[in-house]
Amino acid sequence: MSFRPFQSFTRTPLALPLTFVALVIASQTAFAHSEPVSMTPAANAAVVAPANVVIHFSEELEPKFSSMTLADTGGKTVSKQPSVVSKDAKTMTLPLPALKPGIYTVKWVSVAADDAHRLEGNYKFTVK
Amino acid sequence: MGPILALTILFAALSDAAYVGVTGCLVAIRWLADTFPGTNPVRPPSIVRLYRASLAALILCHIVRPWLAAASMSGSSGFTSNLALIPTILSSTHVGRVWYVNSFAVAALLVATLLRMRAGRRVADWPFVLALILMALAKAASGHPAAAGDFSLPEISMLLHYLSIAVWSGVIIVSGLLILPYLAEFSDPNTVWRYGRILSRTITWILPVILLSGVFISYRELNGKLNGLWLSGWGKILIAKLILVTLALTLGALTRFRCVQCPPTNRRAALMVRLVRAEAAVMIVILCVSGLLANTAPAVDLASGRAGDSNKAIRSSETANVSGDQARVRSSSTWPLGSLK
Repeated sequence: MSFRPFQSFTRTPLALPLTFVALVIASQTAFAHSEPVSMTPAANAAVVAPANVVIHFSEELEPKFSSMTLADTGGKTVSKQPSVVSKDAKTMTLPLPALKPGIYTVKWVSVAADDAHRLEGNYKFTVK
Repeated sequence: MGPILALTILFAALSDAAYVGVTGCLVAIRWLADTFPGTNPVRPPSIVRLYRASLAALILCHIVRPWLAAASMSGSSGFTSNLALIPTILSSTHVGRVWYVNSFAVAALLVATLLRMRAGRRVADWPFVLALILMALAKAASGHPAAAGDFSLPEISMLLHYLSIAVWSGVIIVSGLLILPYLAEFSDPNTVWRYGRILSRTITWILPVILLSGVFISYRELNGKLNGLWLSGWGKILIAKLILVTLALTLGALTRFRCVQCPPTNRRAALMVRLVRAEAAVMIVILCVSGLLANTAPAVDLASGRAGDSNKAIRSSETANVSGDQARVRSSSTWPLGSLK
């Protein structure tokens, strides 16, 4: 064989490791997130004691790993029952006990069903 | 970036690299057999090593996946606590169902590989093809397009895109860095030309699939609003990727018209090796840019899409907080005004 144009390159021990490192950098992970689209009661709203907190999410939730709780101003959890994810998996409802007037914090955790990515958040509302 | 997110990205990247490696090696080995009909093909020993390493990496990533999913879902990095969650994940979540599909694919690929090591070409190609398709399906079902539903058009488009990209990038990288330089050194220009002709013809058939699925996926991520291309970071990265893809296509066209469609000579064989090697280098950069693109908030967030609406909901509250490892990744464009913890 008369021509050997790339002999040195193919014998370079770094050629394949460098390729591999470059490919490792090239992660194809596409993160999906189930984010709140609407909340009832809305954030910062002043309302009469609600029976439930309802949050609609942008994508389907993984019911076993998504949850919601309600805490009072002292940080004590006041919700007694677990939150429930709807059949379409995009709505989470938290049944509430009778609430006294005050400021409450909703804490939610959403885990996207398609890729298991977790998102947490919280917001406040006031009971008149 | 938290340790769990870092690990998730690392293993996702390793899995992608391994998938591209396995696909590229399998296709290239098949082409070598077609290049040397009726005889034992000349092939670099490094291609077998690369295939085995890629397969081992695929298996490792598959084994680790349930624990990483448990860590991502629970938000905890405790090894034993996440281990205890694995049965729940495998029995009752979408991630678990996808994992079983991928398990079947990995097992099929491993068994087919072991059988071929013993029986050679008597083992058919279809188990390999089936395994690669199932792996791409599992990957498509684990990402953003899966939100549209199982076997929906976005998910099928993503499946076709993964498969075609893996063949294109895998075979160009393996051919450009391993096969063609080896053939040039240990064979003759006629052999280089025969291999190059198969490469060029096959990629010509694959390109429409890559372009059509890519355009559909990009249009969907742009929420049908083309101004997202120049108004968002995601769109600008997409433009960079399109320029690189055009460069790769130009190199492929040069290979076809300057080398493959002319009689083989030493000079043309050397030019072909040089062009495919350059295309392999561009391909590696394209994969890196694709990774960056996948980790950037789609332009839909900046338009009037669903994610944009949710941002409005979050921004409407002065006290609303959103947190999470993944949130930080997208914080620059998804929640520009939000109060990330």
